[in-house]
Amino acid sequence: MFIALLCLPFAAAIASWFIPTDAPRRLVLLTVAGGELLLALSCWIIPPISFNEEIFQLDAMGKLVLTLTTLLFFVASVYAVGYFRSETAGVRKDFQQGLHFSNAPEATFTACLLLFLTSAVLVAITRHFGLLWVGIETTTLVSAPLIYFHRHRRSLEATWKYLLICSVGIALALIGNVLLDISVHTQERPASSMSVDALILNAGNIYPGWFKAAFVFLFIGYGTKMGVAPMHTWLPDAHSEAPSLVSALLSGALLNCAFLGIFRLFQISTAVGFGEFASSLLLAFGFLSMLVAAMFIVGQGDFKRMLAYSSVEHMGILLIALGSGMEAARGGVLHMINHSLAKAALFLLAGNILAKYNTKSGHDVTGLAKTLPFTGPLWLAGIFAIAGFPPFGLFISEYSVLQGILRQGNFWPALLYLALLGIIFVGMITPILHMCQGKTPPGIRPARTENLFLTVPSFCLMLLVLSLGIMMPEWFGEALDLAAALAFKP
Amino acid sequence: MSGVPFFSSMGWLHVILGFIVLTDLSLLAAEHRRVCIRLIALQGMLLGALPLLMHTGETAIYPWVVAAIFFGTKGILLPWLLWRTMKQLPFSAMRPYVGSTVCVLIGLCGFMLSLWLAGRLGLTFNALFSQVFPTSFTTIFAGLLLIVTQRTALNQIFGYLVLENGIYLLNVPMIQYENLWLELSILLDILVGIFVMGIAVLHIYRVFESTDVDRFAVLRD
Repeated sequence: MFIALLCLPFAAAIASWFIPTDAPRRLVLLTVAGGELLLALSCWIIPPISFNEEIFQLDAMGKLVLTLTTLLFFVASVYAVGYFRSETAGVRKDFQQGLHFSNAPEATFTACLLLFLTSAVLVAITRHFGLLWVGIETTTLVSAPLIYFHRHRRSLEATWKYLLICSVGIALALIGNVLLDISVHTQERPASSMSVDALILNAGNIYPGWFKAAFVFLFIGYGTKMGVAPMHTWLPDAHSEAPSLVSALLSGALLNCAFLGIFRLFQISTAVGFGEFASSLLLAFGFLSMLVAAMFIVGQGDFKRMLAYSSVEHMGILLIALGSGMEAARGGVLHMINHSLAKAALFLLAGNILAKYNTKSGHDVTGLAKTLPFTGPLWLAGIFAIAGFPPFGLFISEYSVLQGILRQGNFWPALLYLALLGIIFVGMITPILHMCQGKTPPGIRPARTENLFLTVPSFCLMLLVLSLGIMMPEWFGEALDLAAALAFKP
Repeated sequence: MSGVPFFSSMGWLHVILGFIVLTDLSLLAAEHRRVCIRLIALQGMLLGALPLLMHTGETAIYPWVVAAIFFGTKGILLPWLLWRTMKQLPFSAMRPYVGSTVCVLIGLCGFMLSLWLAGRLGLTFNALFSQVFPTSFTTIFAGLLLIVTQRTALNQIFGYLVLENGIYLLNVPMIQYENLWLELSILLDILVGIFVMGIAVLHIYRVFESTDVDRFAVLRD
């Protein structure tokens, strides 16, 4: 099963480089994305057998991340078909700077998309720290060309910042890996085994100084990739300049990969008796991320950058949840899923708005509900969902996190959490209401219908976010319990 | 170093570690890209030789294979990639934000800090880690310093490569456990990383007609 999960997208990536025409290549992309999703879903029915101890092993958290990644990739692939068709070939004018640019070859883009899927799947199915690092680093390398699909100055600037900042961040995580290995290095432990279980098995013989250093480096490294403030600087640029389907994957799938790295680190920390040290760091950076996000969301004119800063906020919530005990962590895992679904839907919709209005400025977009009859209402619903409004799933998960914080007796952090959520809610809703109301600007013709490839994916994702808020299946609740329990009782 | 015979493995190890610190400081003082690439190649070769001095495992051929791979990649292949990229760009002197004297002084402070940190962290099961730690962290520090003080994208790659060299050095004592697959995966990732960055630098030059990162000023809040 693991081999199939990795080989299918990898082989398709290689093949897509050599397929000369667009239609068969797009068919390959859709087929592989669908096949990969089916493989991931089948893991819920037939649990795959572990391969070589924990090099490949699917635990509850890995299973959730794997399913979420493949689902988002499938949805993004459906969107990609409509997106490729709507893109004008050849050189054209950049609406923002007025300079001419062209797109990267579609074959390269498709291949990189599939390689991105391969690396994200690798991150989800391994419990080995070394391989986890390899997977996360590979996601950086293969997603850089995706950000630079539109070959203009802004996307190149964003790509370079992304590549350099994330590579340095991941290099710091590599230092953390080496220090972690050293900190749990004894005669008894199997040589160089960096799997979660092997590290926990040797928890009694830890070198505390080395372990703390390892934690700090790993946290900063994966935190950079996750967009945790103050290491988040690459995120607004990359998310706003990448094509919308790439932004959806970056925000919905890539950030989760980095979060999984931090989750695994937290697993080890609690097992070796450094849970309190880890929690305090997670809480500090979690609140800082929410604060930074709130500062930049309020008054943000660029709606894609606003979504990017919203990702910084939600990554902060995930850290707070993980650092606030079992109950909040369960809410955090649910929040990871809700955020990925809602944010991916919003980025895809942002792409539709951008294509219609030729601007990323929220001030210049008006009458959205009339101009784009499907995108407009979905966009409004999506923003309410991501801001934590009931009955969407994010309300439930944010509320669970709050309950978890209060159960720990942390009244002031709970109050701060609520205040920041409130500020961000107002900061997001105000410009979006402006975008949806009013008249369509002159020169833009309202559309009667929209391309189904570009709207149905977001609709399905929003439906899932709504379902998770209204009724959660029992089996899904159990999966959340199991995943959250991993962080505290490995 | 007292008590270690000069021509023993440990003696040679200390000599190489000393030379690596010297290459770090020279890199911080370098004023031309060509010099930088040569120093990176020299550092890569020195690092490539380390597995021969640290291996105490059972397989005699193993350290030679590892040394050949790392010597070839870090000492020859990666510098060659950088050289090739540099040749496609116009001549440009290094123009760091901070002067070379100040950079070297900060580098020396980094070395002192690494020595202090090594003392604070204490000994581990394998004493070699404590021995390589100060040099490794000095190299990591020098790499980070190069990234943040350099004005052009290509010179920032030099810093990234030096940073990776420092991390590799920290991991070299693991050679004893003969677990090559992971090291090779990491090396491959770094190789691809440098390759992708090299391509990005050429694109930056074509689009901006310069590799100066000061020109990146559009994406702001």
